[in-house]
Amino acid sequence: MAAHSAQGQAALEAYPGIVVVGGGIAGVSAALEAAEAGYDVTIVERNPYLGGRVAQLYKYFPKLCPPYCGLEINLRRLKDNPRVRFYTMAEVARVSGRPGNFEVTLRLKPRYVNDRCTACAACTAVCPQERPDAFNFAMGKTKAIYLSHDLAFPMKYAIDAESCRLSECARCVAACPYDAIDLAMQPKSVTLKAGAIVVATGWDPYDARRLDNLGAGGLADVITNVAMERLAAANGPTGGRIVRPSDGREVMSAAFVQCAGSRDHNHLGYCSAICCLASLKQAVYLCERNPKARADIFYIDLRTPGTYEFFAQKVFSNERITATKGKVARIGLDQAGGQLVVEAEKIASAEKLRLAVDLVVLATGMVPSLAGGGIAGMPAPDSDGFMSEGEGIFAAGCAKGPLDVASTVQDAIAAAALAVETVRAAARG
Amino acid sequence: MAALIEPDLEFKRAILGLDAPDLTACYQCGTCSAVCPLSTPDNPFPRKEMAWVNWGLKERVLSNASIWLCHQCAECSAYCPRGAGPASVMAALRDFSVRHYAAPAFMGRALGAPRHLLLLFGAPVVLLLLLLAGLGHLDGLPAGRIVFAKFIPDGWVEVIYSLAVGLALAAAAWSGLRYLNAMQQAGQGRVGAAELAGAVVATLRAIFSQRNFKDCTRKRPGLRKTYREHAHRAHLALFYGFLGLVITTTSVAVGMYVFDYQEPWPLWHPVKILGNASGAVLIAGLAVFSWRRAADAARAGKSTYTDWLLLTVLALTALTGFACEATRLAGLRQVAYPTYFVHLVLVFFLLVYFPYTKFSHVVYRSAAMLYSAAIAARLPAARAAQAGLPAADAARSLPAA
Repeated sequence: MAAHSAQGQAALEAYPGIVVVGGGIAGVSAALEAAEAGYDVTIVERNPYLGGRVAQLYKYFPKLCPPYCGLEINLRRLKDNPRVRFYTMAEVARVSGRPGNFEVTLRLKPRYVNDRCTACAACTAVCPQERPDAFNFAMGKTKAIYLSHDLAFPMKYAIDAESCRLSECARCVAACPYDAIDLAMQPKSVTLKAGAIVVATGWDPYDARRLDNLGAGGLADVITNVAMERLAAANGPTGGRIVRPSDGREVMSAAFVQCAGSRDHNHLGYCSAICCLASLKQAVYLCERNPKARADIFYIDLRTPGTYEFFAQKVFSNERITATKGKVARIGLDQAGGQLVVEAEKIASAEKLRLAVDLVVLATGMVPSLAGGGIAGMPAPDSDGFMSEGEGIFAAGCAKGPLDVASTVQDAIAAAALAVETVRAAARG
Repeated sequence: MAALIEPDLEFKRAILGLDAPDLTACYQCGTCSAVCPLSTPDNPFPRKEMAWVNWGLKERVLSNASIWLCHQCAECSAYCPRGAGPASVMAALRDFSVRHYAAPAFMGRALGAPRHLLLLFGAPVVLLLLLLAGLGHLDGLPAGRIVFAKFIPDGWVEVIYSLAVGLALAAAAWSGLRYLNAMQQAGQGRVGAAELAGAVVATLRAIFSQRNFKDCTRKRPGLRKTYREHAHRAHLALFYGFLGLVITTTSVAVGMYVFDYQEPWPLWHPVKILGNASGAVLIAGLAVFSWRRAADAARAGKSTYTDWLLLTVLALTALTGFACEATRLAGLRQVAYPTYFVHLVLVFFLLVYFPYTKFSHVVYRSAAMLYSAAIAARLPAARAAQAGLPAADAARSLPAA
């Protein structure tokens, strides 16, 4: 980053800051871009950690490299940059004002853990309460006082108020050697000034329990693609062993159900753009991990745009990975009760297939986090929940539409540039 | 292999017009075939039928057993990601196919649209009026105790109706054979007469248990509402109600001509009890179907003219039958005889025109069930027992890019 001249620096101090809503890969990328250009940025993140969905991924396509690698570099840039501040466990309640002069009101949930926490884990040793491990999509449990994952940034514990008995228990308070737990913390409201706002609120996985014909929720070995990433991750619930949730047996065969609730007027009407590539990637790492495993991908259309086509060709050079045109629309248990049976019509030959597999991965799509609401004072999201831009307010990444990570980062940088431009224009008057 | 495709766009437009307007939305994912409780591994439907209609391949779609194997549970429409309404398309295809195989063809057209309704009802009215004129019964209604045979003698009814229904049965048989022949040529291949004969028992068992309707609800893929949960029980009521009335009528004829046991029979007679009970069951089934068609029209798919025509004529036939009985017992001479006349007109419509109304499903659906039972019997026993589980390994590469 080029150093500003003293004069230029003084002028920048007069500029209002930028608020970035969302601390995933889009929010962090936008914040860094603006901060490294010399503007003050505040990130508002709803989770206790930064990194969003990328932090949960096991591998990126098409390079099959670990996502945390790039995320860590960004978090290092962020730590080193005094112009970036962030709030975790925070949500934007309301926005008012005009470009150059927004007021952004945050609601902060109590973390019950202060900055003295060293993540020594003395608290979890004594905590008697458990909660579903949200980071691992409820595969496994954590204590009510928990570290979201072992690379979490900030590396600080948090207490899940819904599972903790707080002052009725307080064993962690006694156990903490650093006096880092404060059960008296209260929700807070904070108001920030902002010259421009970047909305990088990202996405949530589609609720697979609504796919009533695909067994999710009812059949233990039917999981979603995001859960598959956690199952494969070394810091996941199984330590990276890809096993069946029902009986812990190693997965020898998996069926990937593309468009599970996507391009479907009963569910999500749109294509989430990444699920085909995610399934290809997952088929590859399943077969790498287990040299005898098979993967069958069932699709309507395999969407591998641009040069991702080469990735697809490489994946299908593995003869243990098969693609069949025909949507899986029925999943049951076979007579022995052990394996799952997926049913689809194989379009090419007009035959109904029934394939027995150990694991079914539903390639569920992205639901924008703003679906079903939006933020008071901001432009309303469209009927699917995607955000369009307003004056001085710029959507970035999956808040705007479904994108892969590479496109999200580009989009975030573009949004940061627009935010900077707005701030500069406002300061010029 | 090159294949010359001759699209029949008139056919596609006709199906679109038969309340299947959304079929062009289909993107061929096969969800419909996979959720279908009845389609088999070797003949999954209705995905390919959607493609065939979209491509205007009339002969191919009309010569497949699938259109009649479908029992309209509408799971496909409930799960279709595009809202393309495959169930409505299958219903429209059956509707169209009745006209396609109708012999003579003009009768199919006449029963397919409301504008010929007056003519169609006029024919039995004129026929019966001519008969009454010939008998000299047009001057006034018979006096004394109400006996319908005094108005229109049973013998005449038997003769005229037997001839007309005989012609109808011949026409229906001809149409059914044409459909069977079409399936033999284009469907899943030829089956011999012996194979068909061997499949008769299995087909009859399926018909008498109404097993396919039952499977529609028993083999559901999930929890989504289809608005067709009533179909099995309501159709059982129609089937056995109608069958009961056929047995009643046959028994009465046998009683009269073999044992000279003349009408009217007392109410306590077992045949009479069977008749009244059957009529009541039939009306109950019709009421459920009519009510659900009306109540769920927006969500379960629209109903066509031919749907309502059969429901209405069946209901009016049953209701006038009861009205004849009631007015006869009440001694309402002025009402009873005209009601009997109307009842006979309706019976004529129902039975003589049956090859051209939705009632013809008894022929076409039976033919489709018989043919596919014969095909199923061909499958190696092991294959049939495990019902598939072939590995999905033939398409082990990307589709041609």
